Amino acid sequence: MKLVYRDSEAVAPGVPAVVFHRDGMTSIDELSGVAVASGMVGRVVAPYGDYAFYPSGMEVGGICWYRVLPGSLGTDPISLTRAVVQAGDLLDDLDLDRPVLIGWGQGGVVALGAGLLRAGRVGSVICVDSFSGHFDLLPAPALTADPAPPVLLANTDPDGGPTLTEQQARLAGHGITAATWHWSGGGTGEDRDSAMAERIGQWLEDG
Amino acid sequence: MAESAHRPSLGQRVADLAGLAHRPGVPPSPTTPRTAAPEEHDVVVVGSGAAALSAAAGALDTGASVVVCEKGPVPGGTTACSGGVAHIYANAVMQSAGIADERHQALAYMARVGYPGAYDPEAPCCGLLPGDYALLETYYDRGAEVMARLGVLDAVHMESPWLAWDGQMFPDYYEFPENRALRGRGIQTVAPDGGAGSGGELVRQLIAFAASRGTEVRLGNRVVDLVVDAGEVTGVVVDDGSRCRTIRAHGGVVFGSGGFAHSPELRQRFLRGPVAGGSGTPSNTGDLVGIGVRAGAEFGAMHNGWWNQQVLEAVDDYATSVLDVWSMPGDGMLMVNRFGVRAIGEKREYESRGRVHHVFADDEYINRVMFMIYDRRTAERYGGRYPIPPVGAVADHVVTGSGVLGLAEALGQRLRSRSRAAMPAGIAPVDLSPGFAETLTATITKFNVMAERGRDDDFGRGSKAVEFAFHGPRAADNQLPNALMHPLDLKGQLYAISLVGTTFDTNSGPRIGTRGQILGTAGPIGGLYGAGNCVDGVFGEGYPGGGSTIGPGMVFGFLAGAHAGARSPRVGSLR
Repeated sequence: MKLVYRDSEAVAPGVPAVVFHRDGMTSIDELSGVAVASGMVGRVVAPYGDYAFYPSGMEVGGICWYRVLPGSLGTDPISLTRAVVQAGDLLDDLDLDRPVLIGWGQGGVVALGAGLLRAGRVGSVICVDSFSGHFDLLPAPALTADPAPPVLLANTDPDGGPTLTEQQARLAGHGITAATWHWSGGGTGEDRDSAMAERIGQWLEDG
Repeated sequence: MAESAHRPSLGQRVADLAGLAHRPGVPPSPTTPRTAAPEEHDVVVVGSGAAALSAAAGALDTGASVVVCEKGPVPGGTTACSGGVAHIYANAVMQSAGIADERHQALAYMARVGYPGAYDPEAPCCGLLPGDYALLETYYDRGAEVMARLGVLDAVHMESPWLAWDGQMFPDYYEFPENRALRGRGIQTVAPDGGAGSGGELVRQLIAFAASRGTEVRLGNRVVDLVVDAGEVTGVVVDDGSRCRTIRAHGGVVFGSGGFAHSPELRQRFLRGPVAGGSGTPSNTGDLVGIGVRAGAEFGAMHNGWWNQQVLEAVDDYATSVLDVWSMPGDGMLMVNRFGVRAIGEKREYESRGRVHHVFADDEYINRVMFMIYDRRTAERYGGRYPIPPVGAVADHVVTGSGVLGLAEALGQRLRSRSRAAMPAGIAPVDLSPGFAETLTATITKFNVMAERGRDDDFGRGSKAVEFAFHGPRAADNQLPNALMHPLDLKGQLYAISLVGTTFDTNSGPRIGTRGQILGTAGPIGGLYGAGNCVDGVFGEGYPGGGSTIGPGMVFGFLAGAHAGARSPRVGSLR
């Protein structure tokens, strides 16, 4: 099935963004705001993942991008690949001019996978707070994309510095160069988002 | 929109990209020459869902050594995609709550739901074949006992009631007079936080128990054949993705390998009516069918499944989503066929709605594709509850038009533009009947009158507890007598979503005995067992309540594992 998405008109002529929400769909507005604040003032498209986050009884408790089993049982590579392929299809259908893909949590992994599969058509990819172990589950043609688009890995966990280093090394193992940004400050979510937007904006400007 | 004509299906592309060892079109690995002695265990378990892992627990309980072979890349099968509910009679939760669940009535309920054509309360075995009735008796008699034993072993604690949104125990799906214990049969695991765990948690607990007893779950290992000596099953041939080799099983082999929901060929050959694969794990491709034939198994009904509905555009055999249409959201919503006619109370549970697609009348499957119709109020109030998209979203699977005529025109155009290749395997394209708009207008008009009155004279919508359990709280702006019905605005914007019938897995295959032994024409096949969706379903064609898939899988899986374990000369005498 084609992904359902929210489509926002451009604020002004500028870089378009495709925003991949966090598990549970809670971050669409927040991440869209970060995208615009960082200078992506073109069209903003926010697809919704269509995998069940967790079933509670028979009711689906939220939406995510792919299936992660509890404990150490692993992550389903089929559902992850499915999300990446769907996201790639959406990029084809939208025909945006070198959009920036920005994703949070699972959305970051899907953004990275779709960005790598459509490397020639994507401006850059930003992954926020994604679990690096899932990077290795991306389909092989994505991980061997050459050249890969510019990638920024962001982490907003105060203790997330080592995670970033590990993520960067992991991607380097696949021949993918990534810049990093770590938010170690406290403050409110707004402070964090503001700092993130500033860093992303700078990174995009630096090319 | 359907998969674009210029693209291969989503599932095909996912299968290719994921590069998994066991996927459609990939030949089996070469066989390893028999130079070394085969690996040996007492029991080999095939699959890693609730049935298979309960079999492992049952075998481990006897002291047997066990290995679990799972074809997929992650453990848990369809169980790990589910709510993890088991439908168990007279269970401990019911006993604690003081809910009586009398044997005679419970058996009559199961018989009536599972075998409605043959059911006769005055006849011996309620009119069922003795073998089928014996399975129901065993299920009633040993279900709670098996759950208790699993708890004592600390294998899994199925001690949480399955609760609905209002805090009540979830009701069964049928309210026959025989059903005196409407609520309480659905139970779930106790999760680490003390709440109720889903199917993933059920699998996690069972795998942790197996691991604590030294049992390994081998992913990517597909059992492709049996080893048979003198009519007894003594092992399996396993394809690990690079080679095929033999594993010896001294006690037996227990299949809990899932049905054939995702084999288009087997679906089309065996199931009655147009049915697509649903939300079950993609590896449910019916491996036991071929293996069972070669082993001389006696097959039971091959036309049964756990029915459901799915959005036409979302159906995919290899890249499934767990988002089947488990409940139809909305009160100002109805569902019609290509003639514009309703077929069921739309708030019924998934099983009953899924069956609607199998109706053959007037020389065709009149409900091959059904259309969920709703208005703007419902779109806004229930947006985000699948399959209604979030408010304001662009959703390709939704067709919209102004008033009935506008909707009919848009829907007709969508159906005409859909290529054959974009239809699910086994389901032919449909078009709207010439009188669709006129009939739909009459259908909605009548529905609106009934909604104002609060009574659905045609299908009794809102007359069963299960409908309210799936619906959720009454909409704040609906003060009509029936919370599940609200008039649609005929002249405003209307929306349609195409739905097809699915099975989230089949429950058809070899017949089993009361200890899970797979039966041949001359009795049980020595050393061969099965439980869950890969064998002939204990409930026949019925679905008594939530957990009807996992419950029998766990109970007969455990019994089969225990029997197979005790059968091994290395373990001890037969219990």
